[in-house]
Amino acid sequence: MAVVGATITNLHAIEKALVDAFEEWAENYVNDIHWERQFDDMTRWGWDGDEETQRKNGEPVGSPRDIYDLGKLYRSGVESFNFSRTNDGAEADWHWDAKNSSNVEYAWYVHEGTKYMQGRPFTDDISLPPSFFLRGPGKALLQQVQSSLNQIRR
Amino acid sequence: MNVIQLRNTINALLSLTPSLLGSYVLPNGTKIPAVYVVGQSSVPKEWKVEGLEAAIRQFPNMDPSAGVGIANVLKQWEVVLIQYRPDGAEMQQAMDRMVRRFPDCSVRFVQGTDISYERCRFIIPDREIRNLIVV
Repeated sequence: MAVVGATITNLHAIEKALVDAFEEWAENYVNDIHWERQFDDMTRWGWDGDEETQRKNGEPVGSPRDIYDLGKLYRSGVESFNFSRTNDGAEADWHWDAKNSSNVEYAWYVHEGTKYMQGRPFTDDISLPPSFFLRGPGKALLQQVQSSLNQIRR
Repeated sequence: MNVIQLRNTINALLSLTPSLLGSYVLPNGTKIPAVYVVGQSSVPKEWKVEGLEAAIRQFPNMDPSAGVGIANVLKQWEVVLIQYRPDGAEMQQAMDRMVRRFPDCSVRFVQGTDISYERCRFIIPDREIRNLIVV
């Protein structure tokens, strides 16, 4: 007769490793790397046309143009980054609250488009569940979790 | 699913009685249903849009993953409904039909403002298992 068994121990350490991995991912990957890539690489969302346009500061820019302009929207998101641990997990959030000259938050206009420009859905890679683990952010999270769990074994 | 099948489905879905689809008015006055596949070109500028338009992106986003001897391909189609009539009331019913036809879609609704038409973007996942190509 052969008997094979397995146990799982040190659950608190595993739980802590998962939350640590999530925090590391949210702060060092999403906030420091991912958002900058989204704002910098506009080619994935098509073209506004071939005509040269001007930034808010008057600087000419070709097409496809990035969406930095004065950098208000990008900074509003990155600087609003908030991470909090709760009794049963953790939460990361960003509030893209930059306002236009009419004192209206305009992140949604950039994200979904207006009468005058195409949308640039810069949160889709994070917020669309079906493709999350197939794209950069999801893959980075899995790697971070793997790395964090490996450290427990040592 | 290919883009023609998706276009036909959207057209049929939004044309059910009561029809929610708006129209393109061509330069000669002819009206056709306002369903457009956006690819290398957009809706011709000389076409006038009335009511609710459905714009379908020609090529889906594709996220592949490898299986054993297969490619597991997640395609995500993008369909945007845009209400060009400020007092139009079709959007809510159109959204209801869309989520009941594509229950696993993601929905992004934006209210109309002075710079933005009322619009709703649907991301529709479509999974396919394809044979690997070996050359």
